[in-house]
Amino acid sequence: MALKRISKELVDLGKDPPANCSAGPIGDDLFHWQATIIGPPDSPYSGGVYFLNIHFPTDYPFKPPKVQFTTKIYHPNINSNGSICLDILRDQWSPALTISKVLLSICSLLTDPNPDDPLVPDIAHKYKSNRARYEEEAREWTRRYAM
Amino acid sequence: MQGALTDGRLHNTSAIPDTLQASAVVHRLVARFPHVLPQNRSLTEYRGWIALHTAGVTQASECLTAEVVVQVRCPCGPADMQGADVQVDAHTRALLEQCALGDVLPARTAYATDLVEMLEQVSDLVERCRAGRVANVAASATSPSWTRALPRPEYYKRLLHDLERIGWEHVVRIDDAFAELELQVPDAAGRQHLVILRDWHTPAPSIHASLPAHVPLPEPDRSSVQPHGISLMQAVAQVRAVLGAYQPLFQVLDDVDQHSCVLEPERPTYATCIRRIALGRHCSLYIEVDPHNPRSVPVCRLLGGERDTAALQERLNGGLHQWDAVGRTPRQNLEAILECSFPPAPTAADRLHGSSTEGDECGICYSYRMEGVGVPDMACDYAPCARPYHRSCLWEWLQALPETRQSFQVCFGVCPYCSRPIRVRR
Repeated sequence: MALKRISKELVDLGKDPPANCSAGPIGDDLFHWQATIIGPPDSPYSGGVYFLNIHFPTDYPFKPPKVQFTTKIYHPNINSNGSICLDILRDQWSPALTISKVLLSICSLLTDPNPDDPLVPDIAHKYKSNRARYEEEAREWTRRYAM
Repeated sequence: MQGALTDGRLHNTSAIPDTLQASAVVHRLVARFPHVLPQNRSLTEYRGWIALHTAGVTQASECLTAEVVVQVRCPCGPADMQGADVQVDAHTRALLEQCALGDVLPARTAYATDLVEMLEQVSDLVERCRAGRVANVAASATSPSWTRALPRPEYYKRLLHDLERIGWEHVVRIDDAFAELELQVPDAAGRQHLVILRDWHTPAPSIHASLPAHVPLPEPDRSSVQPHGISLMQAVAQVRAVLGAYQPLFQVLDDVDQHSCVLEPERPTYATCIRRIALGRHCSLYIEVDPHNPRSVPVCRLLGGERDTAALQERLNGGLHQWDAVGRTPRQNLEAILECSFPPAPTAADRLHGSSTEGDECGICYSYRMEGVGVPDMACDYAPCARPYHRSCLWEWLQALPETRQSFQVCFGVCPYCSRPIRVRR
């Protein structure tokens, strides 16, 4: 069942690719994908290319996919392991969502971080207290790790 | 055929002195069936009993004795079974009748070349009945004791002769043992039906065709050399007669299959009178046609979201008295009563673009037809959403949510797409 749904999502991704994102399986294993997100132009991540690993659980879509950044990124909701703090990847997951929608949500998280539910408190604090400093740091990380 | 058979036998026996052959058979008789004794000096009559060794099966049939009383008359001596006749006791005869094998005994014994073999056949058949193994004829064909009685060459000769008469163009497949034959039989309207003859080399063959009921075996012809006395021509004639009787049903089912989109079964055949017809908007109509009266009102059930089916159900309940069994086909009747025309089956091009089934797939597993589950059988009741689901998928999803309430076999939760209340019965 999971396999059928995943392959259907893959076909749909090919038919209607989301803006600034791409995704596809690594090798023959349809449960293990790699995705790329292009840093949104209206964010300090602009110009960077971010790679993500996607693992589908065997009971997908009843359980959310596990999504992780493999490229380092300076963001209040993404920690140094690449883990993402996003409600739809946890308790707000629904089978009505797709990998394409998840990637678009991550894109909008890059544009609009959520400092009230931070994964990295230091960055969240900087984001709230000194936005210019945060943006400068984020741009520096983008240059260093994502270009 | 019978003539050629006896000629061969006479020729064989004349090579060896009759008396020598007869005494050899009697020696074997004494060894194998010591309780069957000759009744005259010319060795043409025997009487006695055959002991059976099916132990442990007697509890169900305590009325049966452990032996079969037999009486054999063989006017040509024990080495030639031409014109031979075997009688068994009343109990055994009743048992054979019970297992619907009354006719099989003469057919099988006609195969025997000498007295011992004939008694072996009697013993084997009765033991089969007692062990209750006859219920499954297919099993008897593969049981090792059966291999002793492989068809005689005449069986194949006759089969080939019959196939010539039927015409090779109607033969689809014959297995290596010439025991299973697949024939293509056209009916009066030119529809081709695949007919499978199974266990044709055994005394109890069967005829299979894609029909709502099984095809009965024709009356056997005693003079035939086939173990069951049925020629291929007889079998085909029988199938044609049955096909003729089902013509009205075929017309009704063809009408449904050609002028509507049948969701289930995936590949409709005449073997089932059940059809699930797509009505559009995630609704479908389940019908079950009466095979013997196909133009009458079928069993009808509407499937889909309550909001959409309610109006259709009302029309169905109110309109059934307008059913016209003569002037309209059931499909036309249903269309008139439901005041809609059934959407046509998607063409190959539609399927390729995925346009017609796109909206009908399950909102959770994204598949339309799921193995072991079928096609989506429910939909969100909120009309603008109306997302279809496999009941089992939605059940599994709602079960996993902490905010879902469950009462007996019903889960109450929200639709994953529109978040409106939804309930699913297990």
